[in-house]
Amino acid sequence: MNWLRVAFSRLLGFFRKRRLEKDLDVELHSHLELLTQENIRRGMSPEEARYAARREFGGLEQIKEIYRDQHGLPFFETLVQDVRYALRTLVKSPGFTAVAVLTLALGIGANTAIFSVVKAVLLRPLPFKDPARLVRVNESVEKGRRSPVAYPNYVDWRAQNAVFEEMAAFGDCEMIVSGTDKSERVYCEQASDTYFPLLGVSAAIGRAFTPEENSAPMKYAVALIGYGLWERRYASDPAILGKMIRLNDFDFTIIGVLPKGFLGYSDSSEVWIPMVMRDAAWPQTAQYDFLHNRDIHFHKVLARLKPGISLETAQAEMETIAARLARAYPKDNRQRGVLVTPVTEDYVRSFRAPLLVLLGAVAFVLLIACANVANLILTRSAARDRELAIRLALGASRSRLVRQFLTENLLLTAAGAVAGVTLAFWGLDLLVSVLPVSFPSFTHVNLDGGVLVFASVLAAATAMLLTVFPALSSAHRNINESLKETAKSTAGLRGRRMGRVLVVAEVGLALVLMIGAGLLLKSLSHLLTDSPGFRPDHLVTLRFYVPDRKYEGDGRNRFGPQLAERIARFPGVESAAATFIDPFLWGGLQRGFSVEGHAPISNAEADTVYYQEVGPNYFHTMDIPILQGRDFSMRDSLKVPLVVMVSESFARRYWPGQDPVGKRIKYGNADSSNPWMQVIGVSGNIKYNSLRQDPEAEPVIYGTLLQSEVIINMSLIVRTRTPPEAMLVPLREEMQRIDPATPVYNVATFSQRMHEDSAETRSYGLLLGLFAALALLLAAVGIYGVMSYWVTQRTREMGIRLTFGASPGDLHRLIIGEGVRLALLGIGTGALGSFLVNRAMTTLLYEVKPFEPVLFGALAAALTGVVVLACYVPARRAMRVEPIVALRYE
Amino acid sequence: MAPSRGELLQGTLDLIVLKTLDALGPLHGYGIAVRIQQVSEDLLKLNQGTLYPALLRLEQQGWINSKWGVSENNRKAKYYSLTRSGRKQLAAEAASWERMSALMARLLQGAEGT
Repeated sequence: MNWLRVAFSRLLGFFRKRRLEKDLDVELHSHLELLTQENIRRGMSPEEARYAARREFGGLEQIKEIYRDQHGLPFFETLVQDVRYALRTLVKSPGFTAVAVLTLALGIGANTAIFSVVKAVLLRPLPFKDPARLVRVNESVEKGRRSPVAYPNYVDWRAQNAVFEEMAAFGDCEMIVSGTDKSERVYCEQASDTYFPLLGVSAAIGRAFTPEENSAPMKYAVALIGYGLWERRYASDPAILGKMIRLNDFDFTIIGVLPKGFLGYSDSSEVWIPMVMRDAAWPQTAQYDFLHNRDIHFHKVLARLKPGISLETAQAEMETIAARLARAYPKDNRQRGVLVTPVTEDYVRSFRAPLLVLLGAVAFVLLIACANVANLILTRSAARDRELAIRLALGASRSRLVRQFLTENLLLTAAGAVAGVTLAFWGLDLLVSVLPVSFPSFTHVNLDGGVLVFASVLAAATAMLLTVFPALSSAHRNINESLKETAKSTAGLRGRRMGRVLVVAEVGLALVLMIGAGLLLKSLSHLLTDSPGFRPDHLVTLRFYVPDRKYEGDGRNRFGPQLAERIARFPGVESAAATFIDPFLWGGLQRGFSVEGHAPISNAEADTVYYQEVGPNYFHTMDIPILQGRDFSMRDSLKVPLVVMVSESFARRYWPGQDPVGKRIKYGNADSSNPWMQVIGVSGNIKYNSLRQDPEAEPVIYGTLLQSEVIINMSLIVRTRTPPEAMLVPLREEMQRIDPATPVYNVATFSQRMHEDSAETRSYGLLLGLFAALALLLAAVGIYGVMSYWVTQRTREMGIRLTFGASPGDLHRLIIGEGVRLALLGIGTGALGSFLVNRAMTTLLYEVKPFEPVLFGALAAALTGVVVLACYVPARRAMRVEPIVALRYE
Repeated sequence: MAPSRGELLQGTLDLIVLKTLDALGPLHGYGIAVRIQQVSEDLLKLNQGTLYPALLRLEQQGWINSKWGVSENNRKAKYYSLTRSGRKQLAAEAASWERMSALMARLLQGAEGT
């Protein structure tokens, strides 16, 4: 504990410095006095005695210095000294300080803001118990492609594995809540009883499902509801337990309310029912027997790793089980593997690449800012050369000087960080509003302690960089040289070497950013201008639910098409049709199928083909061309053999060079009992999942709603004559008038849908463009600074060259040639950098290659222009000077 | 390279000061310096001023404490005295010093013997 005592007394000494100093003075003088008297007693003269006493005592000031170092905190005293000195120096050159702080503030601010998003989205733990051990288990089809899970496979996995503490299955879906209030569509999850304990969530009111409730099919019609739904529909009724909730026209008993903020794994759910009750909510699909059918891949599976079991071990064990199941059920499981992935993947996967790209972009901005400030410091330190030389000569150690510079730079970056964090604080809301809104509900972007620590570390690192960089160039210099030489000529040499590096670096960094932004913006323009295959203007989509029990037989099938016919007569409507997809939100079903006369089609290949059911008039309403054969009509009903249409890409893939009309396909294997369906027509390719979609790679089989086996919900597509936005409300009201019990939701114009679909590319492109512009601005300022300083330094040289007969044109060429060389070097560096960086961006790009020659050429030319301009302007100024003045220029 | 005087003296000087205060009771800096010179018979040549950083060090360790008093010539002077923990420290240091010197003695004798 003695060090503590020493530290304490030193700390005390630090604060009582003045008193201790006085005490020491008194003490030492009294000592000298005694010594002097003793000497006098020995017979010396007073003069002699005092002198001898001094000698015997040793250097008074040295002793005091040692004493001082020991009684206080010399480190802090030096620090205080340095800070005071640095403050004085910085205040003395307010222009430099302001520019440096502002530049650093932009760099640090941008980094802080983006980091706070990265931290909130990528680094925040998920709101589940011990998320590190939580994994998703998926089936896989070929090359690691994830597929949902067939329930019987889940049951077997759960029974056979030894690597998971527990597993749970669930499925997310939509339901219509009706009864007490007006009916509405809610997102829901059908969950196994293990689901809630696995996530570590228990009901806020009541209880979760029991194992019994999840093992007896169709016996316990119980439901859990979300906190929001409880507040909204039940006015936070404390006596909620035991009340009824009508879901898809079936009554469930509420047994619990989940805690506030819990929206299930799907992050949107408000109602939960036991897995084994799904046929009550969806009687239409009861025939498929989800719980025992190994060919329905619908469920999501979660599992908790046993302590000490790694992801790899779990994967290996699950593969063994999957192989066993493939042998036991060859028909369904032949190509089915298994894939264990951490749950974080589900939440951050789509954000990781773009956010890291943005983080990289702002890091580049900061580097450019650093280069600019380093250059400022360099030119400034050139002017301080003699000061440094004198201090070195007086005995200051180099480390002492470096320490002082570090203090100075720390002050600069600290001021920059404070300004930057303030900037980030104001800009964060704007940033979040620009970023895609689809972040998980539990992420909250804010400037918390972690972000502030990040900003501080960044500021400190920046200060190091700023200290090390100029120090590198002054470390090996000779004091005598500096003292003898004039400040200008030394700075000229050094400034030129360092300046070159800075210019090359700035050009390179700015180019990388600009190429990245350019590629994104070009992708965006492709997304917005490439034709989706249909005419998206004046088009509205409204989704609705078809009540199962209300309609019998083909009445259910006719519901959508009849609704479309009635809406088509509504004022302002040109035409209307029904489809069961929700454009750009849900693109249809993928099911295994066979083509007559074609080799069996693998699961992976079948997964690329979408099945959609549409009503009559769909292709006309969407303005999709019918290329061959005919459109569906009202006559294609349940009473006649099944017919289908296919997209152009489907026809090209399976019947190249043949007439597809009259060919036959069926669901399942060729020898299954499913009926053959005859192709009656071919339609043009369209995008329906997303604007990034390649319709050629995702062909469509169209069935008609009039022959559908399962009708649950569908969308009405309406082409309007009047502006579509104004039609949203009237159309919705008209549909409610036709059937008040039918909830209408997901109402939007196609332009809105497509706008949302491109929102990500738009906002990332916007941000990257913003940072690239900032980088370009900073780089231009920096390059100009370096170049003009450098040219000014050479004024004297110019004068000499001019007197020896060089023409101003020669000198211009000389200087600009040098600038162009640097620019080209920077462009080369940038090209290399962007080649490496842009690979991280491929998921964000659309219809552009990572190397776009035109874009690259244009940006490179622009940057070279900036450099040339930065040389030309100061060169012209230098040239105007009379040679004789230039020679004297000092 | 020979160790500098400071290095050589630090531990030794501490021990000497502690022993001096133990033997003579409270003393001021000058008194301690005089005593050391007497005892060492000028073997230990040190600037008297060096004593003060050492005194500060010992005081910071809590082995001695100081009080203002009046010197023989009626001037204000600081008197240092040994604390309880200083006494303990002295005993410990002395013991280890003796062990060390015994060891050195044996070593050097042995070296001579061969």
